[in-house]
Amino acid sequence: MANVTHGASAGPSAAANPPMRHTQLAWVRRLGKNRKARVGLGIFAAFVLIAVLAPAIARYNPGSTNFPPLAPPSAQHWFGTTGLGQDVYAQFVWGTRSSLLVGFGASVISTVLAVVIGMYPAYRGGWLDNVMATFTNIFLVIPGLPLMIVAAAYVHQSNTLTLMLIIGLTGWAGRARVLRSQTLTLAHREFVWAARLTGASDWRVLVREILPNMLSLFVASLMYGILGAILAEAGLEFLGLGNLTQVSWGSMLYWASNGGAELNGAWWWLLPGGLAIALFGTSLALMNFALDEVTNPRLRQPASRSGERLARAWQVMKGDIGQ
Amino acid sequence: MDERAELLKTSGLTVRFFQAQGLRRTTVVPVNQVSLSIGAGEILGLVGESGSGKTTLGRTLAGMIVASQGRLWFNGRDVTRLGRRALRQYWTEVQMIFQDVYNALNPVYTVEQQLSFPISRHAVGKDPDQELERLLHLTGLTPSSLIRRRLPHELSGGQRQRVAIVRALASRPRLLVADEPVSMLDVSLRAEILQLLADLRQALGLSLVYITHDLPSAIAICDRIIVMYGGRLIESAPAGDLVKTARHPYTARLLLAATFDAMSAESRPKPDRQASGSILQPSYRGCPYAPRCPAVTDICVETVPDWIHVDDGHVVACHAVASGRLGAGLPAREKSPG
Amino acid sequence: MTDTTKPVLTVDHATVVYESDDGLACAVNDISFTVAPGQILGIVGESGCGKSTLAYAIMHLLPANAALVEGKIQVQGVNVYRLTEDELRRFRWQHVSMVFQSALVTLNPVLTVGHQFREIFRIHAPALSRGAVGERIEELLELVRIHPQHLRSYPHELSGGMRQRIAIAMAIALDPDLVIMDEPTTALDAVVQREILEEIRRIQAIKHFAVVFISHDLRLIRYISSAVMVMYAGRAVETGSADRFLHPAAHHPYTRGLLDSLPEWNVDRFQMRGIPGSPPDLAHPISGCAFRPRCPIARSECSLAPPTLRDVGAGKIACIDVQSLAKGNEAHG
Repeated sequence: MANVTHGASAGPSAAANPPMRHTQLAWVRRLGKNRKARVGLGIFAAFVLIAVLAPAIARYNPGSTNFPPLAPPSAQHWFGTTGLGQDVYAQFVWGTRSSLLVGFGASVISTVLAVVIGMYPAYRGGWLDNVMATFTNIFLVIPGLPLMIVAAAYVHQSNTLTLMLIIGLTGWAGRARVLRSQTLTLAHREFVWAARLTGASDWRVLVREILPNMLSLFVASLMYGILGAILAEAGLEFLGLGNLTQVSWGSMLYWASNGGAELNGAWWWLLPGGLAIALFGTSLALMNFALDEVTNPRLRQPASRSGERLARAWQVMKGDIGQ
Repeated sequence: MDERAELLKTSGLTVRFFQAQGLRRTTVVPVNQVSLSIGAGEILGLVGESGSGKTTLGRTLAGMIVASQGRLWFNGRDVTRLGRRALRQYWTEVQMIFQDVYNALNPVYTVEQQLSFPISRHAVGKDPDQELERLLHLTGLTPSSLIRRRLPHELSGGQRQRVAIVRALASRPRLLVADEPVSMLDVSLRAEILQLLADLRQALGLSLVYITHDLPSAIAICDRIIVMYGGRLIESAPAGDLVKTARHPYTARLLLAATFDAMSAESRPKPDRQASGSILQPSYRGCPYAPRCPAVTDICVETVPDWIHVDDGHVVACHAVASGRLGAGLPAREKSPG
Repeated sequence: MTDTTKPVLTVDHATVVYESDDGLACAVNDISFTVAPGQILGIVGESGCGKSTLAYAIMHLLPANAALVEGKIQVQGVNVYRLTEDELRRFRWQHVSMVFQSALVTLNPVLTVGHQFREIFRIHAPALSRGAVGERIEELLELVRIHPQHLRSYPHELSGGMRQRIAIAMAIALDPDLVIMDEPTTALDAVVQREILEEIRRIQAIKHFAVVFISHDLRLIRYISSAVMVMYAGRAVETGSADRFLHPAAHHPYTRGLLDSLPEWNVDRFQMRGIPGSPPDLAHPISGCAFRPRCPIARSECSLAPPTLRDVGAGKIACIDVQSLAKGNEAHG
């Protein structure tokens, strides 16, 4: 029928190409070599370790008031004691645990919302996307902190869970918009259509086809979510709107400033909470910068060296292949 | 051409797109009153330039776009408007090959990972691994043990398109819609992919819609060719006949562009001064090629020409042919190039 | 064109290396050629053969991870790698310019076409009066057959063919001596592609600039060029006049494959055949002739050393079997 003739020999001789190995996501490998990423990840891991090991390393009950008040750091009390005679080190350790818990929990909630409200409708398109995009934009213009304050005040007795919910439910909109726009650029790529044509369900397409291609953005969004949640938690606690019986970085700051730590020169009482927030934020920021560097080709420091060094590398290679 | 059982049929298929232009909403009709049929085991060429609506038509046939008007039948069943579940069922019988080989595969998965889902989903009662092996060999992706572990960017354009073909074949479809499957590949790699598609028709008995702007390649592999311009079908003929007796001025123009003969002044189309979108607007009433046609007359811009039967299986929609002003002696192919 | 004056472009043993995640790759390997004033040189090869890298090297536009590591590139006798950034910027539009596969590389999407034309003259010919610039732009548009009303259009409002015409008009705005065209018609439909090729030939006949025309399609190359260079895996495997590619002649087996893969008219059908196998992997070069895994006449000696270009009639072929290729052709012809 069709007058197409083969060349001399049929079939591609892929054997001609030597096998190549790659990590699937080159940026993950490059991330491992990035110094900012390593430092950031180190700090981050240290905080997670403290939170996980809190019961074992806290030394004292953070609520116990059995110690001399306002004692400066010493061998007994590494970070000193509070005005009520609590051990600041124990408070810092347990505070790390509850702050990270609220941060991660709220971030998971807002991420789920951002995916459901931002990514899924963007992939489906049509009226659903229009409605959800409008909803997101409305939510975006409502100022976040006042909204949280109102919500927190409304709840009265907030515990860790309600705090997570309040922060998570109010903090998704910006991230939903970022994820939405990225999803829009991917949703009509051929491979996404091809996956749909093979009969994959919507969620399978979203999670298996689209998400891996925006993983770096997704991870960055998750980290911003954690940072935002921890700052929000600290803000609410500091304003006295959280659960003040629960020790956290925010409540440490609240009690320190309300207990007159400054007046008494008890810097050891004031410092740990604030420093922890700053340090944790720094670690997330470092990881984010690193992520940006390895995934954004324009920020990537040119892999290559100057022309002269390339020329030298070429001379070496020429010797190797014996040209 | 032998009589084949009809596999797919459309009647008056029309697709309208709405575009927001500032505050106004404009309508374009990229596919306009298209009636065609595809036989079982047939290779149909759908030829036209960008903006002719060939891609939109192909995607509508593949169920990716729902027609605004008209009917689409597959195997005697009305499939014009399908629900999500029925659509998924339809996609086991109709598959698509895309133009952009660089976006056709998910960049983060190896060949094996790309293909494991479609194959295991459809390989009922069979060993998915053997099925994958069979399809890799069928499409010339050897040595398969090496190919399986490759990521898309480690494959050549031709190999990527072969992987996409395997993915499309996983559900054992009866119709393959290939939208410019080779236009992004080097000329030297095109023939082998087209040959593969032609071979698959023989081996698997599937039908193929080959969408392209490259008339020679369509003539090489297709049984029948339909030429499309401005959203409408303008000529349909057995592939061999089209070369010898192309009747529509646009088809003749396509042939000339392909053969690199010197173009005579009268066959040279007028430069397109009109905004190119106007022939796609619902208010346009004439022959879509009229604004550029060298043989244009008043009637051409007033009414859409009817189909004229010019030969066995050869129809054309052209006022000039109907009125006898354009006969067989069109500069389609008078001399053979070197 | 047998111009005895100095060549517009001299590429002398140029070697370009780039660094990727895979390691070092040699995209242009020891390539030498000259282009005479008013000559059109076609460079043909499959994607990844280094032809675009060569174009960027001539423009001194190589990306940061690539460099010209050996050899010399001179335009009008000026070594483009000796110019400062500033000199280079002026040199690029006035002496050598480039037309890309997508006109959107040159055209700024948020500025009108007219604005972008005026910008070129404002920067490169500030002495020209407003009126003179306007005249000049109209002249250029007339040359590429674009109606002056489109000066008010934004790039996205124009068709692909019109955009490419405008990109060509911009490339020749300052009457350069050399225009590099990198697959200028590949993204276009067959009909539009053909029109643009004719425009280029017509304009070139009027303006007499030299052209380096790059494509993977030998049909276009032999239609438009006066001389042709075939590239494979970074090397020139065949050079010669365009006539050699239109009429029976001795060819490198790769060129033969390219010629065979062109759709050919045969009674009432177009025939097509391809070159079996995959294009070479520049990051993992093999010893000897790079084409040997796909070559129908390869023998064991082919793996020893890459063959050099040797004279065959009116052209040059880099193949170990060059003698028998020439003889074989005589037998055919």
